[in-house]
This record gives sequence, structure tokens and C-alpha cells, in this order.
Amino acid sequence: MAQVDPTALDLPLAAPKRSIRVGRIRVPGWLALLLRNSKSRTGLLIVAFMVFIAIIAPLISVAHPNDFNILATRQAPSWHHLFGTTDQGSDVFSQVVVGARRSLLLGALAGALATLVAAALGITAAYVGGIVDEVVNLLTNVFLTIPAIPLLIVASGYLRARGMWTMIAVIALVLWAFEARILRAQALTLKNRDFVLAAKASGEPTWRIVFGELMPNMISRIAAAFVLVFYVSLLVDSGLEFLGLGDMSATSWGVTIYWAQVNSTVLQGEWWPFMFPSLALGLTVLGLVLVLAGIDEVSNPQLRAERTRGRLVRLLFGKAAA
Amino acid sequence: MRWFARRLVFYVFAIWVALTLNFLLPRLMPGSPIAGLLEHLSPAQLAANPGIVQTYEALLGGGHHSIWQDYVTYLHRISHFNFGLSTSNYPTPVSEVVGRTLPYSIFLVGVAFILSFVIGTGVGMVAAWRRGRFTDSFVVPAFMTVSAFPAFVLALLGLYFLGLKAGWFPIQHAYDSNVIPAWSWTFIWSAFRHAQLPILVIIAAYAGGWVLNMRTVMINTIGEDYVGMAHAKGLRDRRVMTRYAGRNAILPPLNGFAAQFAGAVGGLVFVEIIFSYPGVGYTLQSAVLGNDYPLAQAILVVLSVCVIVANLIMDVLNFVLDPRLRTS
Amino acid sequence: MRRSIRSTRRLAVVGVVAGLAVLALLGTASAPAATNNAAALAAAHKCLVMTGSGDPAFVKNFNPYTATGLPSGSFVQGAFYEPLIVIGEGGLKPVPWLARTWKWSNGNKTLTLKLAHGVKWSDGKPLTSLDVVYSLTAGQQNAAMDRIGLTGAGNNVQSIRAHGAYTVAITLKTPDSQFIAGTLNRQFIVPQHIWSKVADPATFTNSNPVGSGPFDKITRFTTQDYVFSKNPNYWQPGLPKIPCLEYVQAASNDSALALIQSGQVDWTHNFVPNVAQAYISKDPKHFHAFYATKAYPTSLVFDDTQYPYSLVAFRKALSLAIDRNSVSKLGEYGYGPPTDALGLQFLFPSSVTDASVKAQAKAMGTYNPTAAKKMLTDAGFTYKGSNLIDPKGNPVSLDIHVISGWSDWVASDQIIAKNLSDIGISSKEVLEPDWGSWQPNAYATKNPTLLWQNGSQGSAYGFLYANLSQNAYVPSGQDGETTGNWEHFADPAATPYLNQWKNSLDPEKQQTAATQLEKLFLNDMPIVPIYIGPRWSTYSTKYFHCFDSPKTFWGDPIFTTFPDNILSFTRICPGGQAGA
Repeated sequence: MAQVDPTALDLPLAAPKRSIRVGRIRVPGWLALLLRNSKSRTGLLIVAFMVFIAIIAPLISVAHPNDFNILATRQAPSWHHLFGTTDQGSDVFSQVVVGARRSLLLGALAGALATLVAAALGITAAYVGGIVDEVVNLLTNVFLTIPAIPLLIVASGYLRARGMWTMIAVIALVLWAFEARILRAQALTLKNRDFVLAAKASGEPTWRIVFGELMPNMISRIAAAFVLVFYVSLLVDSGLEFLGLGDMSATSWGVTIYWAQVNSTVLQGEWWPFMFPSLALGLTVLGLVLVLAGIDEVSNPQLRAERTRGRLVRLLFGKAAA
Repeated sequence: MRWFARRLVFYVFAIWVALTLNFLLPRLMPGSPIAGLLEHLSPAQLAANPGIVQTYEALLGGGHHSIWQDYVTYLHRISHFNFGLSTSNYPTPVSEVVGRTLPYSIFLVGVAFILSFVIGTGVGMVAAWRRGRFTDSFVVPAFMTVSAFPAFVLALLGLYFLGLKAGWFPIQHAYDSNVIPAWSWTFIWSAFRHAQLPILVIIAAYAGGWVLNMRTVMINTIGEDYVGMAHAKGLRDRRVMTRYAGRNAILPPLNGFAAQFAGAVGGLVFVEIIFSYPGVGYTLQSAVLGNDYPLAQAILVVLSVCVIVANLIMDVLNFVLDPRLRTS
Repeated sequence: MRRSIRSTRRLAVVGVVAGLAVLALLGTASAPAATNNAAALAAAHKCLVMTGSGDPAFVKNFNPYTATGLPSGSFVQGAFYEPLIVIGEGGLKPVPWLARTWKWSNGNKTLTLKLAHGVKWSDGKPLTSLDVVYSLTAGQQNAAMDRIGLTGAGNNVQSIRAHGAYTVAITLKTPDSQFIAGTLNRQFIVPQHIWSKVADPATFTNSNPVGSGPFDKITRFTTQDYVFSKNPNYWQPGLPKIPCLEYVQAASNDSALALIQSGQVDWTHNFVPNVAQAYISKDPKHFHAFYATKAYPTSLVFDDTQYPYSLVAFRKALSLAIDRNSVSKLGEYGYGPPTDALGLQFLFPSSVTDASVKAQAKAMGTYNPTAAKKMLTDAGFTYKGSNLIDPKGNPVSLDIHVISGWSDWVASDQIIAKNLSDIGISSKEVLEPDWGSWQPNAYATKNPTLLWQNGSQGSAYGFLYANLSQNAYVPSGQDGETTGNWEHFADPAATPYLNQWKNSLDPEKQQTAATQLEKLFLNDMPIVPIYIGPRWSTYSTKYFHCFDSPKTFWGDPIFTTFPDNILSFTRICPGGQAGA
């Protein structure tokens, strides 16, 4: 559960150019930028593939992926069952592709909610300042010192109904602090810019300035925040499901892994019900990490310029130094 | 020094919030601890113990006070380190359960976290210094890929391939079962052998984050004037890397220490469960599944305190490493 | 400048140390965990090693009354504390234990027990009739210590007296042929000189248990394992045959399975899916699984006072509609055999003697959806399309609730739901997150569920009493646990037969009553027995042999089941042996 620490990500404040033409297709500026970077290109491709699979899941899976089949239990991957079957004869491939829907949706929504809370609180605090800022800052730091996974384990242990929306709310509430700190710091540097001061002078209300002026100008930073919380939510949610603390009647990657473990499949040499959802999960997270790394490189000229140092040093100080 | 005092006040406040959160969580949710006790029993065991529900009710039935009264009593008790009795280990005090398990967890997560920090920042530093070379092109992506998998997947894979198939590592417990915990070489050796695989898993899962962070910051640092200056002075390459660039680059990642350490503590839970390692992480899961409120609460507080103490240590380190803090 | 040189060195030192640490982590990896020498392994494997699954880190609590949720509090009964008489599960021939002989007198109301001589507590004091009387009446000191229902509403015990050091007389209010098998069997004997001084048994952890049993010392205790060592002065010479019992902690199913696969653990009771491949195949000569089917059925239960469950025809149709073979094969991995409509043929085969009862039970429990549909339409049910409509005109639905973590039940319920859908009942499985949300509704049968039987296992009487007796009847909406009358059903016609059985010690009279009760059960079909919930046991004969097995069956093979476990603790013998 690698976490790319948000402090390290310094993103440009201005939004990129509106759009770029690639052949006949108009590509939004940010996407074009990301596609030009090899890391984020790979990452986006992986994530897009997963999303595509999730969308077409009903077309390529059996109708009820959790249905049992007495005649086809514990089968190794074959043409008939691409990813094999579980102890009860459910098709693992169907579970993985249908599970992608819930896993991705839950991760994305929890990420979005956490980002929204973080952005609203962080930016407002930075802009308003004073006691509000102190309180939000304090709260953020406190949440950062309470370990998220143990807190989530305890919280979801107390929950009776662990439906999707409940899990989204709980995860978002625990994870928002990750980003609030960064967004606040970013907003602090923005709040004295001319366009903000101008809006303030013209008597615009606080919420308009926060949502109308500050947020649009921090959009790339907020997007990066979303990607980060997205994959952390994915990992956290599957972790809870692995412990049996999620919605265990749902179809998702974590639930399939949970049942694989409950049935001790790995120790019996049945690697498929465990490996395939794990791979899907790991690949998605890797994709998102790559996107994040790409955003980082795109927005950070130092990172983008490969071998800049070598050239610069040589230019300035001659071969001996390099 | 004022900076330091502010940090201390903040930590005290953070502990208070953690305690209050702990107090409120179970009271916001339905469910009873007796039901949790019974959950540990299988249908067969339940069938063999008719009347067990009444037995537990006789043991755990209690009166009800107002929430404020409860809260005051709660804070008072906690301030005396009295966390009550663990319902799933009734009537053993929670402090005893935590006391038995905490040392193993601190050992495991402490060693693993320091190692993943050192390895991660080291690799990140070298990768940034020699961009596009071997470390940067192969080691960094490898770390990224491995760290993209959840800790429990890595732990299960390690258990199966390195522990069970290859037989290189013990796969369960904190020491061999025929060894008595004591300060003897046999015990230390046994504890070391049993900690190997869990530690490797935590490193695999968490070093990747450090690698990426350190690499990013280091690349930025390399562009700074003073690094070029150091080169100009004709200092050896390695010296510039460690003494000039590395030392400054390490400060920003250190600031993210809280989040990283809290994350590693989360991973600890999974690793302990999979390796039957008798630490607080595993105890936390069984407490939660058994609705053992007092135990689960105490562990959350203890883990929060651990993170805070780790932060405090980092603050001191920061103070030593960063001259700006000392002069301000 | 000086400072930064030092910091460089520090960095270098840190780097070197970290490098060494990683090398150490990996370098010692191939150091063998144990030698490969079989003799050395056997020598190191002295104790009979047992494990559970999902046990929390151990704490010292060996209270046999209250710590029954912990393994330590469970099998301290049997290891340290002994029974009077052992009647293995399923009404096997009684084995005399602390009580060497016993006799009924006074119109079958007084039971006189003659105790073994020369039995000593592990602190050296003698075990006498006073200890036995104390243990039997300990409920008066504290309700938590009541093992024979002395403090309950239905108490049938008149008096318990000691006559001399080795005789105890128990007088009942009315004759009870089930007293030894159903009541006395659960009693273990504790030393009066210790327990009478315990102020609060609920908070007493009994960390140094004083017992009379085959094991009498805790010679090792850590958070991950503990050892009970043999009692050198045990009153039965030559027993126990093994030097010690060891219990090790396993956090999950996976870790428990890894422990038995590697042979480190000899004996467990975890559910092992595909046991033949997962366990036995790893060492077919030594690894065995004995899934004892001497047990009551697991049944589909619902509230019989609610419409349409109140219709006998509906209940009988459900029995015909469920494919018990599929449930057994798929849901229970073939370990729990399907039952007939009566469900007694595995635990008490000898109690079903009447040929017509046997045939009827078989026919009523055989999968036949066509007959089920016919039975329903004959009773006034109709079909709208493929949906079943009850005589009152409402569509019939039946959702079965189950805890999501109980994988075999989840699978079984899914098949049952599908079977019921096939005859037009709108049926699905509802997963509950945990015990807390499932149990209250299940125990009061507010929704249909699978459930085990709660009646005494001394004879079939327990089963028929729980499901038919007016005395056992639990009103609708209430928790059925105390009597096991989950379905809120009673048949007044059963009362005379139940009384006849209870009051008579004559096997023939008991059997005529049994046959009548069985007929009533099949007539009423208050619950739908489906399959036998097996008693899991996996054991390894690599280091020990003489385990409870189909060939030498002496009762429940589970080491936490008292008093059956004391037979295993004293009969298992050291030394590996190929074969069972």
C-alpha cells in the first residue's frame, strides 16, 4: 500500500491550455499533456482498460457470478472458465469482471467524496484564515496521526449494515485528511494573487471565491489528490473485505479474495480464485500510481527533463564534473 | 523551542481526540458485546453448549448511565491506564492483553518501517542521482509494481512461496513454540527467524512509497545551485549525492512521516493475521470480529499513541537536521 | 564542516547497517527450521499438539465454568476435571469414571453412585463424596456453576447427599430415565476446598487449576501456546499414555491448515474444504480425517404459528422439494450426509425400529418436486404462471437468513433457495454480516433459517421432546434456545408418550413410546431435517495413534466436547503408525 506522499507533488497552479487537436479529434489539454508522458500514458491505458472491462462486464460474464455449480467446482483456468472456478463452482472470471464495477465505483466515489471534503475544507480554511484555519489544520493533523486502517477496522466492526454507500462514507471520512493539508497549503499561496483579491474587492461572497475562483485554478492539484485517494480507497476497501468487514454479499475483488482465503484455496494449490482478483487490484493501483507519477512529471519541469542534470552540469562545469 | 512546545500541545490534543472518537464510535452503532462473544463459537460448539447465552448475559449485563457520565468515567479510567476487562478474554484486563502483544508489534513495525525508510530513500536517492540508469529504470519500477499490491496479497504470496513451498522461513508465530520468551540467545534467534518474513513483506509493501517520494524531491534538489556549487568545488560525486543533495532532499519526505507510519501500522494488521503473529494488529481484528469493545478501543488508542511517539521522534530528528527550525 | 562530515558518516553507517540487516533477513533464510531426521523430529514432538482457528492471543484463563468461549476453559474439562460417568455422544454404552458403579432405587427416583477410591487432587488432598456433592450443588453458591439445572425453573432434583466418603445419593422428584445421559453427563467434579473459597467464579481465572484428571500441570504458557503435562499420580494406573497436551494458536483457517499440512499439529476440528486434497493427500499414510456423522440433523426451521408455515401440507411439501443430496454434496462438500424426514437415523439408528416409520421418513425426505407441487395444489395452493399462491391468495415467499462467514451454510442455503424457487416459492438467501445480526431473529425464528438441534444427545428423547413437547413449547416471537423448540410447535398428543419414555427404564416400553413419537413427528413435520452437521476431526498418526475413529468409535471426536474428550485424552497413545 504504497502512498506517494502528497507533499512531494508540486503542481502548477494554472490550468493547462483548453484543448489540443490530435488529427481530427479534439483532446482536452490536460489529457494531451498526460498522454505525452510515458508513465501516465501507461497508467491511463491500464485504468481505461479496467474501466472498459467494468462497463462491458454484463456482456462478458455469466448472469449471476456468485451462482454455484455442482458440476464445475474447483476447476483450473481453461477455455470454458478463463480464470477457473471457485470451491462452489462460481466462475472466477465473471466475479472479477463484475467485481471490477463495484471495486472501481466504490474506490472512485470514496476518492471523490474525500477529495471534495478535503478541497472544501482545506481551501476554505486557507482563504478565510484565522480560527477556522486553525481548527481545520488541527483536525487534519489529528486525523493524520490516527492510523487509518485500524480506525476503519474498528469503525466497520461496529457497523451492522455495510452497504456500499456506508462504506464510501466511512472510507471518505477517514481519508480526507490526506489531501486537505496539501490543498490548504496550495490555497495559501494563491489567496493573495490578484484575481482573488480582485474578486474579494468586488464583494463576492466567500463560497463564490472558494468554488468559483480558487478551485478552478487548483484543478490539476485536486485531480492529483483524487487519483491518490482513489487508489488508497481501493486498497483500503479490499483490505476491509479481506478481513470480512465489508459488504460480504457483494461481488467485488476484495470479496472474491476473502472467499478464496476462507476456503484456503492457496494452500491447496488452487491459486486462481486468489491470484486473478489480486492481479486486477494490483494492476489498477499500479495504473493509478503511474498516472500520479505522470502528473508529477508533467507539472514538474525538473522531473520531466530527463538527464537535464548531466547536460547542465557539463555545460556549466565541463566534463570533469560530470 | 516554541515550535517544539506547540508540537507537544498538539500531540496531547491528538490523543484526546483519539480517545473521544474511541468513546463515541461504539455508542453510535448498534450491537451488543454478548452477541460478539458467541460469534466465536461454531454451530457445533453452540449446539454442545446449551444455555451459553444466559451464562454470558449473567457475566456481562450492566446498568445504563447518561452518555456524559459515561464519558467522564471513561476519561478518568483511561487516565489511570484502566481500559477495563476484555470481553473476549473475560475476565482478563485489557491492559494485560495489550501488554502481552504490543512489544511484538512494536518490534515488527519498528524494524520494518525503519528498514523500508532507509532502503526506500536510499534507492530513491540513487535513482534520482543516476537518472535513466539501472536503478532508475529497473529497481524503481520493480518497487512501484510490488508496492501496488495490498499488503495481504504480498503476505499470502510470501507465506505460500517462501514459507511453505521453499521452506526458508517459519510461517507462524513470533518464536518457536518450544522456546520460552526470555532474554536468551535461543529466544532472540527464534524471534528473529520468525520476524523475517513479516518484515520482508512490510518492506515490499511500503518501501515503494519512499522510493518515489525521495526520487521526486531529490531530482528537484539536484537542480539547486548549491549542488552545482559542490560539484564545481570538485567534490567527489558520492559525497555530493549524500552530503549535499540527499541530506536536504530527505526533509520533505520526513514531513510525511505521520501518514506513512500510520499506513505501515495498518499493513501490520494484515501481516500479523496472515502469519499468526501474536501482536496488537491481529488482536485488533479478533477484538473487532468478537465485538470486544474495550480491547478494540484500547488498541486503537495505543496505536495512535505509537504513531504520535514516532512523530515526536521524527520531530526531534527534524529539529536536528533542519537548521531553519532551530533558528526560527 | 565537521558536523556535515559526521552526518555523511552517519548516513554511510545507516546504509551499511540497513544493508547488513537485509542480508541477515535473507541470508539466514535457508537455515533449516528443523532437522530432517525423522527420529529427532519425533523426539522433539513429545506432546499431542492441537489447534483451533481464529483464536485470540492466549490469556491464562482456565475457568471451566465461564471461559467456555476460550479453548483453555473448554478442554480443561476433561484434562483437569473429570466426569462421574461418560456416555459418549449418541447414547453409547456408559463408561464408569469417577463413579465406578451406580444403581437406581426408590421407584427409580434415587441414583446411588459409588466413587473410585484413592483419587487425589493434584495438590495432594483426597477426592471424596463431599467434593462430588459440592460440585453437583455448586449452583447454589453461584448460578454460573450450575451444571445440572438445579437453579432452573424445571429443576427435578430433590436432594443430593453423601453417605460416607465414597457414596453419593441423588434423589429426584419424579423418575427420569434421561438423567444420567442428559444431565449428569455434563457434570465435572471440582475440589470443594478451592472453589468454595472463590468469591466470584465469573472473574476467577483459575490460573493454576487443581484437578484430579489425567493432566495436572500447566508447564508452559505463552500468548501462542501452552502445555498441559501428565499427572504422574493419576488414579488410573498407566494412564494417560501421552506425556503432554499442547495447544497452539492459529489466527485463521489458512494458518491452521498450514500447521496440519506440515505435520506440526496432530489434531484439529476446523472445517477443511476438500480435506482429501488439502490434507490427507499430503501424507496419506498418516493424515486422516474423521468426520463423525453421529449427530443430530441440521434443519430448516421457521415459525410454525405463522401462515403458511402453520399448514402441515406446506411443511411436508418443503421437505419433498429440497434436494438433500445436492445440499450435502455441494454445500457440505459431501461431509454431512443427507437425512430422511425424521433425521434420527445417524445419531440414534436403533431408536427407529418400526418399518413403516422408516419407509415413511425416507419417502417424505426424498427429492420429488412434482409430488411437492401436487401436495400443495391438493392443499388449496394455486399457481399463477410459475408463482405459488397460497390458499388466501398471496404469493408465497421464503427467504433464508445466514451469517455470511459460515461458508458451508451459505452454500447450502443457496441450493435450498433454488429448490424452493423451482416449485414456485419466491425464495432467496439473505446474508447477515455477523452473529449479532443473525442470532436474535434466527433463535426466535423471525425468519426461516438453518439451525442445529439443542436437545439432549443422550437419547432420541431429547430430539422428540424439544420438537413436540408442550413443556418445551416456546411461544411465537421468543428465543427458542432454552428448550430447543425453535419452531414454536407442540403436539398435545405427544405428552403421554414422552412421559412414558421418561418414567420408564424398560427399553421396550421406551421403544414403543419412541415409535409413536416418531409417527407424530412425521405427521406434524414441525421442522425440515436436511443433513447431518458432522463433527469434524482431522488427525495425524505420524507421532501418535489410537485416535477416535470409525473403527474404534467412542464418542464425539472433538477435543473440547466434555465428557467424550477424556476418553481421547486417556486412550491416544504415543508413537507414529501408518494407517488410522
